[in-house]
Amino acid sequence: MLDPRSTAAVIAVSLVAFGVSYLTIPPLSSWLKRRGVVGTDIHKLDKPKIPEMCGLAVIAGVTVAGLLSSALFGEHSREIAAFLGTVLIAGTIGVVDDLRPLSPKLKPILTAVAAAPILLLATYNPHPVFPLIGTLRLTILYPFLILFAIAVPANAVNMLDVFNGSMSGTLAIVTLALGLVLALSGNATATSLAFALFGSLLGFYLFNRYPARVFGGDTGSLATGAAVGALSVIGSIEAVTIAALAPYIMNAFYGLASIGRLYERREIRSRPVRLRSDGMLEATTHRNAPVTLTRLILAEGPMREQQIVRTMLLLTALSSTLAVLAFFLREVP
Amino acid sequence: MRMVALAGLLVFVCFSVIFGIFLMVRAVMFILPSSLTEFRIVTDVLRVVLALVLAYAWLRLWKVITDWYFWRSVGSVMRGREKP
Repeated sequence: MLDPRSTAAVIAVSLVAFGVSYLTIPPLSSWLKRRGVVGTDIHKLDKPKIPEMCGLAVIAGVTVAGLLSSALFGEHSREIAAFLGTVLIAGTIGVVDDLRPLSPKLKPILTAVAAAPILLLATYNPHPVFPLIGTLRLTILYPFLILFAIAVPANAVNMLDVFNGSMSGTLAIVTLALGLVLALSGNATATSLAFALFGSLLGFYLFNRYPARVFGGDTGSLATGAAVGALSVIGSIEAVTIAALAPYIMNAFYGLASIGRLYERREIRSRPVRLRSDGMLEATTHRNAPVTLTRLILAEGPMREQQIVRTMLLLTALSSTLAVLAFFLREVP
Repeated sequence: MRMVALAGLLVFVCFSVIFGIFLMVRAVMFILPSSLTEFRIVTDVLRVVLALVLAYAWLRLWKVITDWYFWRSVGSVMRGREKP
């Protein structure tokens, strides 16, 4: 458990992240709208244009809070530098993808590059602890697995960023669970980074929830997904992160298994979901459309967008609870 | 019912991740124990290959269960619509 001083510092870091993210969004979204950086909200009947790339505000929140964390937990600034480096590289890839879409094969390769700061600064423990198993010695293999630990969550989060508040809301729940687990394990620096991400996502969620006034874009989803991957490696909570990200893993795997290759949402001909004239969404019956998490949610009948997001939030709350329980199973090898 | 079915799928995924890794490690260690130290590199490579095969089989199982749930649910919704 964290001591009272560290707990106070973590709360301060989280509040700063929330404040920076929340206060940055209004001017940033106005500027992006003026520059024509907008996306269409395809799940609304009137198809409104919403400012894209506002995930930059989350990155700003995490960066400022990370620097504050570095001042408060100075002896661990290497971990903080690796975390921020990963977030900034993934965010830059997201900016490029938002402005000029990358190919579905190139994007995972580029996001794996975001693992470079963690590898270069050696802020990882190659002996991860798994529930019921205990410590695994992966001295040679682990550095290669870090590439996947960053690229997989970054792209999985990107694939679930389909509805108003779906990415920001679910990921806020995941980071809260990871933060609690890190606090229980007594890792103050990683806890402060998890709560920096949580605060930033919460500030963003208030603008991104239904009906969305801003979109995070690939900038937001790739940066936050990579941040979760970086937290799992730096905080040595790999198994907990996998369990918490179960809805993302389900969505990504089902999509990939249905299509049979890496794909971009834009290139899918048979849409998995369609918008009805009454504003409700329903699963299509195309055999070759990917069976995504959304399509699974809609399998038993049509729903409104906010109901789908609520279901996703509930599923993530369940997976995050199981993740916290998995943390306690670490002690039972 | 929808939420119960989805929560069931999610719990299955979470448990299969945790217990799947446990079973994989145990199965791989049983088939290729650490005592086979003479060809250490070959054993390690075979372990990784075996773990990947087991992981693939377990992912296919997820897919079969999901497809079954999805098409069964869609089918019952369609049949409900066709009824007068």
